[in-house]
Amino acid sequence: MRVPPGVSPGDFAAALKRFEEAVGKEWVFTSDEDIDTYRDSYSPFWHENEEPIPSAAVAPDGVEQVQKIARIANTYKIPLWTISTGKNLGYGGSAPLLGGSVVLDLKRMNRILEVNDKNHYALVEPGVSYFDLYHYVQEKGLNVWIDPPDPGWGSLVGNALERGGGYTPMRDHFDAHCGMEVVLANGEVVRTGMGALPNSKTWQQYKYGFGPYVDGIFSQSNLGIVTKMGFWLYPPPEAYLSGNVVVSKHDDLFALVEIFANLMNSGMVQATTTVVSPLAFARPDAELAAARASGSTRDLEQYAARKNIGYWSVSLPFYGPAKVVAAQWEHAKEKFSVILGVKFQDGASYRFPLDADQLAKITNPVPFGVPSLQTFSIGGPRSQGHMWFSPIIPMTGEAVLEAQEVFAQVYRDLGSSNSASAAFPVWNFFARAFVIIYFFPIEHDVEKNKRNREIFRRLVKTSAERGWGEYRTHTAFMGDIMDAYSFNNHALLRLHETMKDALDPNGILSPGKNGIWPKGLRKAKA
Amino acid sequence: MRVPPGVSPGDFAAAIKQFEAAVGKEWVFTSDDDVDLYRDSYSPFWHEEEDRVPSAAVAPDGVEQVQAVVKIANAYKIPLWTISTGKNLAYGGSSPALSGSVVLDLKRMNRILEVNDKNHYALVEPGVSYFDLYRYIQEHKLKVWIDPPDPGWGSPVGNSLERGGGRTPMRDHFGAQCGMEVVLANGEVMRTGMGALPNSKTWQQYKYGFGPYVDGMFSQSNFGVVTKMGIWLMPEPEAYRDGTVMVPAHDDLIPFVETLSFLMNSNTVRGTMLLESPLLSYRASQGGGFLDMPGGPSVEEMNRLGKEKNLPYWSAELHFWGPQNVIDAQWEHTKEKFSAIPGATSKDGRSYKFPLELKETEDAPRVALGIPNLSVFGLVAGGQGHMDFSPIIPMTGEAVFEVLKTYGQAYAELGVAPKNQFFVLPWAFFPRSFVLLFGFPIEHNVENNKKNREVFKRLVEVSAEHGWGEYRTHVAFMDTVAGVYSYNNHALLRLHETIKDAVDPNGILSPGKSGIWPKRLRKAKA
Repeated sequence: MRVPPGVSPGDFAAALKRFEEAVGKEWVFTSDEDIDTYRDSYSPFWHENEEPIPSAAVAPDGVEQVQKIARIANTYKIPLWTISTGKNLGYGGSAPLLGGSVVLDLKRMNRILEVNDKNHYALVEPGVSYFDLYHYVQEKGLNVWIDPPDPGWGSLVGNALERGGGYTPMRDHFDAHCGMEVVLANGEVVRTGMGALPNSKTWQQYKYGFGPYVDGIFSQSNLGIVTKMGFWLYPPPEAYLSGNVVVSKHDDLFALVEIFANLMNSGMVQATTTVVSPLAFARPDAELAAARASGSTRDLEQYAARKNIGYWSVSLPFYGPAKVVAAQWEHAKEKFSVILGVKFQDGASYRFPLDADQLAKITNPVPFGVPSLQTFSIGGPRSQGHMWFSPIIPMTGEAVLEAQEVFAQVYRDLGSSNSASAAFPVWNFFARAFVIIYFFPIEHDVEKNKRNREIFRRLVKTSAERGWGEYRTHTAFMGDIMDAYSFNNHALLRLHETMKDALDPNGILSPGKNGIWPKGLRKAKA
Repeated sequence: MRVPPGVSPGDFAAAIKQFEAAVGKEWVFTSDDDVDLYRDSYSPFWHEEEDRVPSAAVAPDGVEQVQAVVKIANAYKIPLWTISTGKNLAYGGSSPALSGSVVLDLKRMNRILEVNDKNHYALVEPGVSYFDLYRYIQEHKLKVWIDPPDPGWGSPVGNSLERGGGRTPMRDHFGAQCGMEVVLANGEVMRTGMGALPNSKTWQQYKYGFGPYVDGMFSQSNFGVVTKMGIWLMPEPEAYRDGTVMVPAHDDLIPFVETLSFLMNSNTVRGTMLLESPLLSYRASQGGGFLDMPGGPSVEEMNRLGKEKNLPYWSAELHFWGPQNVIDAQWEHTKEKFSAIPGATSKDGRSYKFPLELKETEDAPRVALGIPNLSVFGLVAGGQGHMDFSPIIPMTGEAVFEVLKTYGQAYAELGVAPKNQFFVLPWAFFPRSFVLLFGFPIEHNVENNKKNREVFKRLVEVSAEHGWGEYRTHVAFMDTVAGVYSYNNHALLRLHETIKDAVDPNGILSPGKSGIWPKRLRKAKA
């Protein structure tokens, strides 16, 4: 049996016994077969010793049981790694950062406590998946949409705490949350926002409550265990309309992004999309290969013109009343028409609700509030996994070009062939900035993974030199990323550490999460 | 000379001397004349011992000076009360919660560091007022709007930190903040969000950064001194229009608010709105009140009166900002939705195209058009001041009915005459909930103020019994309001206290703010 670092086998056995008393023997897992299911199936340390493997897992069924576990863990100084549904694939899955941690698995806490379709919100436990909530809403015939991320099997609570994003106007999942219940490291239950008022009538309707608004400190963090969370939902829109804007010249990107930012920040476009280069994605024939090799923008532009391929394009999603979305698309076309040679293509158009037949014809239903697992086809049938490199860059054409160039250079420097600039797609998962969501393959090949980790670290460093930082990362790189956020000798991390020491003096909650270590495990900062 | 509580006159004199060395002799104020300027001109303790009076004020001109002041305060355990421009009238003005505190006045830090009209944000210091920012934008002909609160002389930083509201789609001022620089109690400078990344390119474009999102901790709080803040701005819209929707009978409020909630949560109606009652306003003009007093007219009588006088029972003016064709479509859709309520009527209102000619601004709803002004003080002309009682209630007709009845009952029990019932119907300053703003009169009359304080406290209690809590309050009532946010034996307040002790062990920053006292001044909880 594995044992958490710094814990004696006797203490660990005693702690497990008490965990069993708290949650029931069948909900404490220690066998290798059971533990293996908590390993990261997309681990970048496949077949390596560094792969962090938990020592056990414990699955409570309610807030009182969570409180008991926290108290037992404090007594024996057992590190707990909290997961909701454990589907954080691409960012570490359900595996801890510190090998030997006990996974605190909240999957059994899967109660949907309320869904309100007059004020449009839900209150759920961490084990509730997007599928669960979707089915509940469908069964009860409620007039609300959910906003799933790409794979819908994960937890609303977990995704929002990791600050993930979806596709509808409610796409910023942390921002869409309203009110939390949190078990602190000492086992106390706290409710935030209006939930601090006993029998509050607005826990899910007003975020801030009175006094410091603390919810954010429990996101991407190890300062507490969130056991309930409220979410704002979107009233079902009447219609959806998309329109594609295509421009023909390299330098049109500047105006394209500037107008796009104006439309987003004006609330005309409210949902997630991506700015892409159809040209960069084009299958290379001899002509295109030559144009690419020449590095001449003019050659590329001419090729694109001949083949009628856009140099850049952005697809605009509109949600709302049919006449409003039509007016928004009209307005967008007016705005973009200042770009010489711009072309517009009407895209998909729907009226809601969709019936089963219509839904079945839609390849990707996620932007219509319907969870799916279709995204897992992304790596192809033989994929062994992936992880994401996801820096935030300014919403400007200049920044997009700079990022393409800088990151492609990293690949060239490291002798990788995967350097097509198109491989760095920019998304607007969040308001006011772009995020690059770059796919890293994981393989069951030690050498290749080593190489990819090297590239990953190099990209992080290069980003930081340019003033770009990642919004989220795989557990394997949390220390690297937090290190880059080093303003004034790591002042922010030091604040996190001060809070960590005050709220979790024994350092039992998710050690190492987002680079925050308890005192005993903290390394001296460079 | 007054001395802060627990500080010896000798230590205080030494501290003052050091403050002078840090910021210049002319920026440390100790004379009664100077210090009186920092008293609350709307104090509910006018002529009473309890009136909060500072011992001195110190006005640094830059972050280094703030750091120096904080370090000196730590050495001598001097309580500092931070203000930005000190215009927090109705909630305490520039006066401290603890008499004898030294006001840390940031008015000299009034630099506008950046305004970007491509990505639509500003980075400002705390001493910048809404007027300053507006003028800067006008002078530089930037295509962005600010969102001023009703009186425009206050600070965007201060107002956002107090979680105030404005009128345009950017009305949730804390929600619109992006990135902070904070001086901690130990004198360290920290930057939050992407600002933790040295030379970050997205400090004002992406809120969360990496790891725990701590910004909320510094709102309505005493955990740090915010010295810079980013604010998201709205791109200048093409047009504005408003229109009023009305329903005839008492019970129509239920579908009326449900429709409003749907339209607001769908982002079709944006910005701040006020629920109005032409009928109740008429009754108030005849010497009656807004509230349902025991023995008052029945619903049937009021419905009949409405019919007789041809006055709608309920109405709301709704506001639309954006491209002309889009806002026309939004208003059309809005009217359609309300027309499902039998007897509903609507009326077109004002309409503007931007930028406005100066002449047009005279009769315009200036605050809703991003133009700061002070005309709100006309409302209270002749008065000696006011303070606001501001509970959050659900955005439902049922909640409004319960409010009218509950506060009517409370006023009847307290013997408050209808003409003194300072009450207006709920506002939607924030998404998804209503807030009531009762303007309580302040008078230079000890007995009247005592009575009003009693009424205020009773309203806080009655509200809490119904599950309603205040979003913000006057310094005189911070303990009272924090006291009702008592879930699980004041777990949230105890969390705040744990953080307070960790980040400000000497308790120098704004003692008593939002009910958070440092260890040495903390009372045992009931």
